Amino acid sequence: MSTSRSRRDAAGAPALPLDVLKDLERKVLWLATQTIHHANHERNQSDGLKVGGHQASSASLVSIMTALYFAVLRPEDRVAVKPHASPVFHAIQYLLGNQDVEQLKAFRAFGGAQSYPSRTKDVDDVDFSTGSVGLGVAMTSFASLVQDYIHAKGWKTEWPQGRMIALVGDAELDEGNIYEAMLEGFKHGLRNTWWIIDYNRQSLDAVLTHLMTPKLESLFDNMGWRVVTVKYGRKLEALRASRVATGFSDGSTSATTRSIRRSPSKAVPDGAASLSAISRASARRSSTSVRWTTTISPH
Amino acid sequence: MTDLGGHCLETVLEAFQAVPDDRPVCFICYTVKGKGLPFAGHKDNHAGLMTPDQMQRFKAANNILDGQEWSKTAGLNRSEAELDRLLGTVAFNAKGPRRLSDKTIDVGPLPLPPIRGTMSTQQGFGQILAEIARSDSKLAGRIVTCSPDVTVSTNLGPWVNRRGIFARHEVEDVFQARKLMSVQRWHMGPKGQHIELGIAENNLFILLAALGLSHELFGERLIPIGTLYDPFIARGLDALNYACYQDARFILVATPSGITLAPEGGAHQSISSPLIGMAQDGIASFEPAFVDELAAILQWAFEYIQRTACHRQGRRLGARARRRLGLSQAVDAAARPAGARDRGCHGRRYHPGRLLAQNPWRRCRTRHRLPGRGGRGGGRRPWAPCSIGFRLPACSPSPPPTGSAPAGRPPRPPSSTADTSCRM
Repeated sequence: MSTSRSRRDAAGAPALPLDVLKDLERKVLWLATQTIHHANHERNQSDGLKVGGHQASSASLVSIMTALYFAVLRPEDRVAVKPHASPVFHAIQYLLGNQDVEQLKAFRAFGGAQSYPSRTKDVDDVDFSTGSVGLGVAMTSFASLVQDYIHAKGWKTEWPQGRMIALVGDAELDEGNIYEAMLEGFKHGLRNTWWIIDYNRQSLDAVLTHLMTPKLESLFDNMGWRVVTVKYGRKLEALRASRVATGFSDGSTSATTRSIRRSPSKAVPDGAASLSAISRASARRSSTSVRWTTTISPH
Repeated sequence: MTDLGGHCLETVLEAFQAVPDDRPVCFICYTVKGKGLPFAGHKDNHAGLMTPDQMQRFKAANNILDGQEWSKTAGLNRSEAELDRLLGTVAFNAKGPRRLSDKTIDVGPLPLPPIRGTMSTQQGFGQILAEIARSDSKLAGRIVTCSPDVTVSTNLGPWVNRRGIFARHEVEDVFQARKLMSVQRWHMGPKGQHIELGIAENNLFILLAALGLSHELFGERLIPIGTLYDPFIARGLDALNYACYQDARFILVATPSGITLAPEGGAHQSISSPLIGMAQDGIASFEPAFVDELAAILQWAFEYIQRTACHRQGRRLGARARRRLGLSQAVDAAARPAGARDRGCHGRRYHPGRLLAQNPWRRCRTRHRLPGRGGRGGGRRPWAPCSIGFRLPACSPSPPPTGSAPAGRPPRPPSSTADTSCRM
């Protein structure tokens, strides 16, 4: 435990400068989109049957995965990638030299890069297969339990404990097995597990009509998880920083994650109309689980 | 208003790097579906594909020329050498292949329980494990059992009495501390080798997937055994399929099975699960008829689930990926580890039927199905290593029929005392 902590702390800042990460982010989005485009519009198809792919679902996770793979992940970490974001994973592995271009060109075809990351069929070192949805998410929590089991036996002590990370589609949270796994994780003192929810508020069929964040926050908090809400980017924060009225911090950590709550705007279609009140109430309720360093008063 | 947290590299990096400890974290990252693409946020964009025109404009916006679509540097204003140098510093890649391995564990002959009178294969299974628990073999140390709240009724009790329940910290057994008389003396602590689960079969199969990949994920080989009631396999079937799809290796013991719960009523009889065993790829299922057969197959299974997979896809690797994964250039060596044939990779030497045939006092009456050539999956290699499933009834075979009763049927009780009500 102490080994992994000190390694992680020592790792500190990202290895790559931000401008490089931004370039990579752009490249990853292009490659993932092109991989799907090539499979559907450029590759020879004699039968005219649909190949498919999920350009929008992939785009949703590009920044998060760029940050993770190029700046956060360590060799001992293991990741379950949201099934529909498979092209993003393959693009990143291609840039890192772990995936062949021929595999990308054969995306979804026999012998090519898989539509959903696969340990057995993909060649680019997939940590956990994913799909059907929900199973890969639960897998990270049980893998963490197995990691604890191994360390408790005094085996593999030279290998630092990794973080078991799931990239979770928000619609994926409808799968019941996720909650079965959460309960079991609680009983076993789950640790070293991150679930990163791609909260794009859209599923296959529809747009989310309910405000889910307070529910999710209290749910995870209830199970002993830390909840970090990452709502606005730097530009929006800067825009609002000039209007800061009040703020509070739980002061318990040096963490600087901003969790800013205010009523949703047009571009954040969160559902109900009078949300600012709910948001404020939930902010007070869950102040122990979400680390608030800045709060913007709604206007 | 599209600068949401999940699309801002600085913000997400800050969030990830600020995690102070090992407590589990849920990040709720606001994003826009399709961010950066023409259909960003459109409600119907899920399976939407950009048109060739849109792609052409997107390509131009990225400063990528025709023919440079797959270039790693096009449009980035960086040379290939510079990008390679930068990517060479990425920690994710620092230790080479992420897939670890561990040496196989010697199985040796299993210590057999004394068999007196008749015994069901379920009882036999429990007693074989109890004997293993008594031994100090390497195998005994690497077996991990797990069960969704049916540890006792699937006969794992004696094993758990000896090997204990896993918990990260020592947990006091309040019943034992107060000297309550009980057959179950289950110590909980870091040395425990049984993982007790709540009654959720999805969790059982996903845990088996994680345990069964331990050698590749964490570099330490485990021999996982999961037990559950046979009819409840269906409850976690997709998770079982998921475990098999990942090539996790485990032994699944489904017991009681068949109609051996009939006297308890109609609810828990399992009639269709043999079809699952036959159809599910990645698991070979057995239904041993006798305890000594079970022991022979179990011994074989402990060795069999440790064999290296022969992934077809391994042969499709390019030279660079092959180097990175530490694979030899030779096609065959990638598909089949060196010396595999000598260890009986194709299973012929260790075929359970042969083991059983050598058994001097019993002919093989075990129903079994192994993945073979030309079966489901078409060109799959014969004897591809996989997990093993057992279907074990809870009652011992009926005594041989006597008198004029038709062969193969148990003798009927006198009609005057027969319970004629329908139990199904």
